[in-house]
Amino acid sequence: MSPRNTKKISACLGVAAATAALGAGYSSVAGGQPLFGAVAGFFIGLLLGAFELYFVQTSAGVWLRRLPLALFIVVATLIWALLIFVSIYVATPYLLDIDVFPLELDSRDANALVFAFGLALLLTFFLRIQSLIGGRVLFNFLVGRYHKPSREDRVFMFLDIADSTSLSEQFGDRKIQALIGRFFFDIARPIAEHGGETYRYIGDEVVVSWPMVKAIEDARCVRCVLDVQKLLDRKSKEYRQLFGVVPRFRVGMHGGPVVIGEVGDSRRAIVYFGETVSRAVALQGACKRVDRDFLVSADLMDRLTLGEGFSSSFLGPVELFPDGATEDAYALSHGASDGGPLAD
Amino acid sequence: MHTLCRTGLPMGDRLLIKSRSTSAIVVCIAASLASGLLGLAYTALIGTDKTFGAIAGVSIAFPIVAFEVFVVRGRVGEALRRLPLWAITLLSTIVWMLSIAAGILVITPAVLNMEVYPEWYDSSTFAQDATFSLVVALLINFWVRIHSLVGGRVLFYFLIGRYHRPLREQQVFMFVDFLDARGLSNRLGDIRAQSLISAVFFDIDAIIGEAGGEIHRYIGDELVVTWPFQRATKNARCIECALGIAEVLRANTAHYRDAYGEVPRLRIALHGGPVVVSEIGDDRREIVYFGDTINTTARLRGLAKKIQRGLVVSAALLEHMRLPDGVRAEDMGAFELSGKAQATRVYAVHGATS
Repeated sequence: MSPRNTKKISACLGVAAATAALGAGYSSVAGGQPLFGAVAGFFIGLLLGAFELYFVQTSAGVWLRRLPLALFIVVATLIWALLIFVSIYVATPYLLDIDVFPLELDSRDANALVFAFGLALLLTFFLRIQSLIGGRVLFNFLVGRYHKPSREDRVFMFLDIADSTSLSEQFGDRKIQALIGRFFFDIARPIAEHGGETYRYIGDEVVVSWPMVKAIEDARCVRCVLDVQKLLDRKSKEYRQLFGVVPRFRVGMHGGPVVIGEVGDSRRAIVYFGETVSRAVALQGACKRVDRDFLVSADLMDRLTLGEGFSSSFLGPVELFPDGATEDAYALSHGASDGGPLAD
Repeated sequence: MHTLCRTGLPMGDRLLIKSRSTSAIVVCIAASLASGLLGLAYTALIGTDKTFGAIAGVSIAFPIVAFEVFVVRGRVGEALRRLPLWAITLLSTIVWMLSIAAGILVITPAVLNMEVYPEWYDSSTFAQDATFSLVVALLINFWVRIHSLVGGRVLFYFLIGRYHRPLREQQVFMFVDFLDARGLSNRLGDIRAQSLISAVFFDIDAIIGEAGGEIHRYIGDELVVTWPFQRATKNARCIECALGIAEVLRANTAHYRDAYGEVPRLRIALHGGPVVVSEIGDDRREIVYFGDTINTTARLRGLAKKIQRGLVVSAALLEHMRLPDGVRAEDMGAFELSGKAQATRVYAVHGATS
């Protein structure tokens, strides 16, 4: 069993245990049978957890995630409601050998339903909306983690579509924007699987960051880029069919200390601030000048242990800023059409 | 201050404040009525007293909405809004729960001249009513908090799927950033520099909202504001906004100097034109703007530094506006900004006091 699968199963069971406790608690407070509440809670947690982790978040759920958000919320909520209904009225009575049909709802049952559906509605809404804010951002805001600015070591990746301006002149701006949208949708998975936190999108660019320790473990930040390229190679036919062109991308990557803080009043955000970020941006900008697709600062490279299958070349100092500031950098191949012995 | 009157800014300010409190009252009344309807529908559905439901709905919503609009969003709430999000959420949840209990158990029976517990109203009915109210209240509370994290209209646009397919629109962009962020962080240390930047962005938030601008992004020491083109050029609101930001900064000079030993200086670039707007992402979703207009605005901001002007506006945008009295535009010449062959004419704009 893969470690990812183990993680998913334990997440499902963890959620199921929590909802079982919640169900038992609710039914004993509301004067019902704690056993029924616990079992129903267990089924609800298990089914909903499995639905989220094995359907919504996987490739099977792509069609669902591509829907407009409101439709996504409605469809997912309806499925949740169905699963809750099945848990309460089919699975639990079957297990406990109780007859519930024909249904006779008294006000206590109605209360239990309002409780279960209300809670589920809150949760699914929360899950869907989370994507608008970003994984841990909401949590960090709620606990006030960056309410006072703090310093952390992080790796930043700036990835943009090469020549998007000339592409949009050639193919039309809306078409290229659709391509960019598709590309960023597709690469979200490999990025998340390598532990990258998509911080934000800026035009034709995506900003991803990792805590330093996580990024350099197995050189995940670099592997992430290779997997993005692999995905693009695999889907090149699809892109050519849909948009007439397969996008190329450029990456600048650098790591070091940044200051993280909350900003804003009516509009709030968590921002990263410091030289590390501007150096990562500048490295990406330098890609074009030195005609490479993937630049990593020597600082970061020194901390990475690259396995086989990487080809890197040391470029020496690369000019980053107009004032002449430079940074030692490596150019890595993200594997685009360089056909190694293992190329498929 | 007297010289400022000629710019029309304080005048506009007063109008905005007046219209804000009027609209706050309208919001209070509308929300209370909606909540009354919800209460009516709910009691009709579960078959209890409909008058009770309607009145309870109104009496629950009114104090909650008044609290949100007049306290949290008002002047008193500024200190509140500087608290961590959990503290505000906790506080408002307590207020909301108290309002719910008071609405059901005290106010509504008093209005209807009933005993607190009529025969049909036992504790389980109260539990049910309170649960229902609480779920609705939590949903709305959650929505209100999320709103600030996602950004004003963005949540709404996502829900209706407005930019699910890329759309071409005319937008005005304002880039605001610190003149010397690197210097600030060298002199103050990065953490204190970040605190100063946060303080400035917090202080200028209100004036941007009042000018109808939408804060699109914070990027390090930079702030990006957008308007639909018509809204920005009507009464030169985007210019008023930029001058208003300068005014807020001036008014807070002493405060920044005392707290940080620095007086921050901003530079602002304004430009408008066609962009493609689109939803993007999978487990992280955003609305992004794409196109030459944004690159041009970014370069315009770079130019502001080079020609040493605090506020620069492209001719393409300026020609759609009539400048407020006392505000003047200084022709800075034509510059190559868009990456295309033709040059863009650039103006520096000066308020009456600057």
